[in-house]
Amino acid sequence: MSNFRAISTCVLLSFSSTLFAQQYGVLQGQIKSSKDGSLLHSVSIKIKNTQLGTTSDPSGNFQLSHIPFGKYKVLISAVGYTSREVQIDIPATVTTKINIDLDPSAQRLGTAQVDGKSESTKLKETGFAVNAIETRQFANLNLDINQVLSRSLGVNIRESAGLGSDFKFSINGLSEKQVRFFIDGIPMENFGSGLTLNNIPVNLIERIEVFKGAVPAYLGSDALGGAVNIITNQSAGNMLDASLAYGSFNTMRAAVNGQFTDHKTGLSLQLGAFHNLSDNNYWMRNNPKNEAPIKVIENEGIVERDAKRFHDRYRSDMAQFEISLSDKSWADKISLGLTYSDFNKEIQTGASQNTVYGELRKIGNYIMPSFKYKKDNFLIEKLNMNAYASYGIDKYRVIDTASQSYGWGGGTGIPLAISGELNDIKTIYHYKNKSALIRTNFSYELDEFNALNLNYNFAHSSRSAEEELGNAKSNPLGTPNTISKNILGLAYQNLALDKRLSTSIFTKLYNLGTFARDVVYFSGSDGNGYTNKDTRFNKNYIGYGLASRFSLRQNLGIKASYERTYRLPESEEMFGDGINIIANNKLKPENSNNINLGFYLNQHFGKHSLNFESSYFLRYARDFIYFKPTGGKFSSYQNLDKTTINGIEAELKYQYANLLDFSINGTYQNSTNKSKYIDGQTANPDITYNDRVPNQPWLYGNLNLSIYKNNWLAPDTKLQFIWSSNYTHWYYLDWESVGSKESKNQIPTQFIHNAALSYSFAKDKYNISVECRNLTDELAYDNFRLQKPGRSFHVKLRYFLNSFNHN
Amino acid sequence: MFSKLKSTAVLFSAGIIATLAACSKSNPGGEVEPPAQESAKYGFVVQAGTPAATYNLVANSLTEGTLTTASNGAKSNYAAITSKGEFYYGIDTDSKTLVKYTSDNSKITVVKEIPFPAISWAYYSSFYKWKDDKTLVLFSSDAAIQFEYAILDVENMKITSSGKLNIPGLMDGYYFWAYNAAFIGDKLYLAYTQENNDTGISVSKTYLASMDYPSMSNITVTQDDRFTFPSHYTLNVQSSFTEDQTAYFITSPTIWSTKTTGEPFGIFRVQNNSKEIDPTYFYELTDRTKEEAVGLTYVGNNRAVVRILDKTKIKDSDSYGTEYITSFYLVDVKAQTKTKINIPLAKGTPFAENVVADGGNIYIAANTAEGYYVYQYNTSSQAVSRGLKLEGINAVNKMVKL
Repeated sequence: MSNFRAISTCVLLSFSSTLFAQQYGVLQGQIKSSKDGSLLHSVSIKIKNTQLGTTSDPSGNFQLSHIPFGKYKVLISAVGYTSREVQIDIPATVTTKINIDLDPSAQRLGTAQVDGKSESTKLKETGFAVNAIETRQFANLNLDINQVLSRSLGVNIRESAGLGSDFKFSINGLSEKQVRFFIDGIPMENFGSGLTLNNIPVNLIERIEVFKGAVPAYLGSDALGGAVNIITNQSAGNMLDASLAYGSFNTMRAAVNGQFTDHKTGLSLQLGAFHNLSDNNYWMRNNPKNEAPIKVIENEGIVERDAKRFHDRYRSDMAQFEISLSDKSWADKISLGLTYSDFNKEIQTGASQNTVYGELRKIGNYIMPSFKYKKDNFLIEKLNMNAYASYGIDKYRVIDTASQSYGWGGGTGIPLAISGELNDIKTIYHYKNKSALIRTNFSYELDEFNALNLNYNFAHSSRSAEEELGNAKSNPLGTPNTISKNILGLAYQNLALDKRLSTSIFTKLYNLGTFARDVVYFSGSDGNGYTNKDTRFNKNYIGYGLASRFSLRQNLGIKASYERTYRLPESEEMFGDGINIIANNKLKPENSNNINLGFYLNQHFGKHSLNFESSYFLRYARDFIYFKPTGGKFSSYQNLDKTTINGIEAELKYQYANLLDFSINGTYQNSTNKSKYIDGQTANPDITYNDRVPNQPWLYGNLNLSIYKNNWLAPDTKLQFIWSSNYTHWYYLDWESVGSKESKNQIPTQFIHNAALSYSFAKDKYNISVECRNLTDELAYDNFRLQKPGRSFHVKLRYFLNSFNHN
Repeated sequence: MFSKLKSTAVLFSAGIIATLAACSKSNPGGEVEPPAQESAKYGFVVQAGTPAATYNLVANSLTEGTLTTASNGAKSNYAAITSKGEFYYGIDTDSKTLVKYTSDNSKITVVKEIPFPAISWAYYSSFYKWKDDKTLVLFSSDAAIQFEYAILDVENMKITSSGKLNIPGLMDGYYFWAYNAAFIGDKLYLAYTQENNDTGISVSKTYLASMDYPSMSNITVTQDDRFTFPSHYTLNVQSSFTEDQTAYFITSPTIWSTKTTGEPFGIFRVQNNSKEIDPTYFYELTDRTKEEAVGLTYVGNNRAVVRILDKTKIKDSDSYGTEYITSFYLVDVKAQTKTKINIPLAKGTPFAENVVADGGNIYIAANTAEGYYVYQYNTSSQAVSRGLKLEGINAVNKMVKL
């Protein structure tokens, strides 16, 4: 923490000398078509060599404020029109006006000219089923990445409690290990256990890409059901974004994101840092109606009443520092980085809120140096390459040394002489994970219509553990287990039919190598029984896919994507833990045929703008890996025969000028049991055949509304009201066909509303927001008997400075 | 290891081998069973669905009809330990409370729920014995190194006494394993072995701790080198009984529960007023290289039902649930004879209380190639007939007479 503060202070000071001597101007204008004089919307206006940019509204108007005094080149580009570059001069505190006519390009209507479009728009116009979320719109709110993603189409996140709690992320029905996460294309498992989607504040990132089903080859990983790629600040200019938020449950979040570039030397410093703290001491409500009573031991009996959480404090810090050199003959950009994170997490409950812990905690830290290199026209013309290497050491310990047992009434006073709360013996397990990653990406543009991409990822990790107290009878990780993955991806992109048809064909070669010590095997040589031995494994798998988009008209297109994909088994899944989980060297990787078919429609009427997209998804999955307890001493991971998930999702967006944004989305997914017989035994029919797979949300959606008011109370101010609602339909914990209706456990419907009001002044430089989450104080459960926080309030202050000059 | 077992238990939810009762027929006091009444009902605790959940069901007859879980059965969030009459006694595995409840085909009705911090409960290391109809004695072993007990007055749902059983003699680097208990009058006998921390292999000895009940004092430990592993998971399947002031126990070093190999599966006994295992008696039930023997479900008159498993078909723990390897035998412990009960080979649930003796018949819930049925065995004629069909059920954990 002290490190974090020191770094933050240094960076703030280093920027401060340049911050307060600025003078700014405003650029306003209107974009028209040179052909018929029609006003053009969604035109990209970018000031080169800065992070400043915007798009024109349905009336063709745009405004860029807070532009430091100086001369600039502005790039104006739009779909179907030839891009233009104009020189402007911004005198201090004066509004500069320009009107631009754009010439229709030679390409026919419906072409997808991607220059000048935002990265999100570019991505959406590929064939991949993808949510591309620009997070700048949320920057004034006190949100983390999960809270942003949970509002987007087809994504469902089940959190077990408040800030820092465990969560289960799913995309189109596939979840947990089947979804892979990346930060700037780097697999997130390389960033240690302290960095998660629910502790990274939204300010640190620029956008989020959610790939559903098919995943592009450049994200080299074994994602079975999709991938989330978090893009951090990619701008070349100077900027500073610092925020501090405080709210209910003693929740504090601070974030700093800054970049300083010296254009003369090409030297650039970048810092991203955050600090999260919360007591998470919200009320647990006694809710017998939803089978979620809170049992408190009083006078040697049990009473049911509300109780406050008392052991759920969470703290996490992260600082990422990068120094880069740009625009050299031998490198477009070369960077050295260092990431540090730590966390301290108290654990309040087990898998059910009825299992209460009072002393169990997890503490850890992580450090990772990294190296990046980027060069266009590498060795030959049009060959672009980038490379990344990192080495991370993740250390954490689980402290299970409680002196007494706990319930919702606090300590019971009953001593735990031998056992801890988690384990049957008091333990302090120290885990150490080391991970090395090398990633290279080559792209080669054959011509305007054809490109090749080659991606190679090598990841090696080892995992070991020591038990500090010497109490544990056996330690499955006494000797490190190692796992290495080589993943080679090759993609070919083609634009045809005047770029109306965009196609990407790709293949991925997966290589898995593992080593595990003291694997438990069954032995047949001297009679039946179990024996231990070391084991190595090495095997290859090939996946492939296709993503295609066809524009029927300029505003209407269809998309289709397919991938046959794999998730490779992890070390424990294949080799067990050497103690009770035995090896299953016949374990196959999970594999799935993923299909997404969809269409999109964008329509504009005057100041009104309407977007609609919808898709059908199918996951035809085989060999799901799951833990199969036998109830005996030894269990193992097994492959589940087959699962089919399909569903539809749709989203409607409406925008009125710069005053109102509205969106509503919904997902219906259908995952059913296709086993006709119990354990394949024809004499014993399975009555759950065709039942919906239980304990999974299957109908959910979101509503988001933003209303803006510019120049309220004072010039250069912006008032923004944001409303979001999340609906998840109730679902059964167990199979629907089994058991009496009155005794079945349900996870109740939740309909959560959040509201926020944000006010920006001095041209977005100073921002303040107030926010209320779970406005109606609904009892919300994402999981059976795990209540989430009730109503909470938050205030956030944010200072934002963009593209300031340093000289 | 124990942490993993514990987490397994959580994942396992109510457990494939969920707790099974000393059904009313298996009276540990050695009393003769009362004759069956026509109106007798039977209770089932079953696992259904994959992933499975626990349901309680009732049936009026074991000899005919179908019992289904399709829209039928009370979903239970409790792990049943045992039952007496209409009442089940179980653990709420989340909150670790002790619950007395009844069930019909639609819902569980809680009679009383009490805190239960007295002992560290776990499905793999806890066990119980009925002292009499009103007194249930619950045992466990904290981290497998410290035995504990709690005496429950079931009428008032009150723990009348609890504490530690300070059994001496645990060797360094070993833990207590394979627990089996029986009463002879006011003497409590606890049989166990010791298993190595590193190898998971037990010593070739069975230990017998004897003590006074209810004071749990005067603890004496003796040992017998002829056999080891006097059963395990005795919470889930009965493995001892007492008749004529003699307590009988089964040894059961299965692949399921230990890495120990080459040891016999058989019955040993303790005579009244003795502190030792009877050195003159051991009835080896199987060819130890080819067969395993599990469970000792008392059915009266010095007889018990034992499951004999075809060891040659056991490829790993999973085989217990997937292979048709189980035969049922009626064993006369006094005469040292065994008679095969002629029902088809069954699969699954070696550790399940799926045997009820009632009115001269023995009923066995068995998952055979014919389907899942309750088979009726007439102890006089030795005839077997197929009775109640069980539908939509993965495993019967408990079948009891209510």
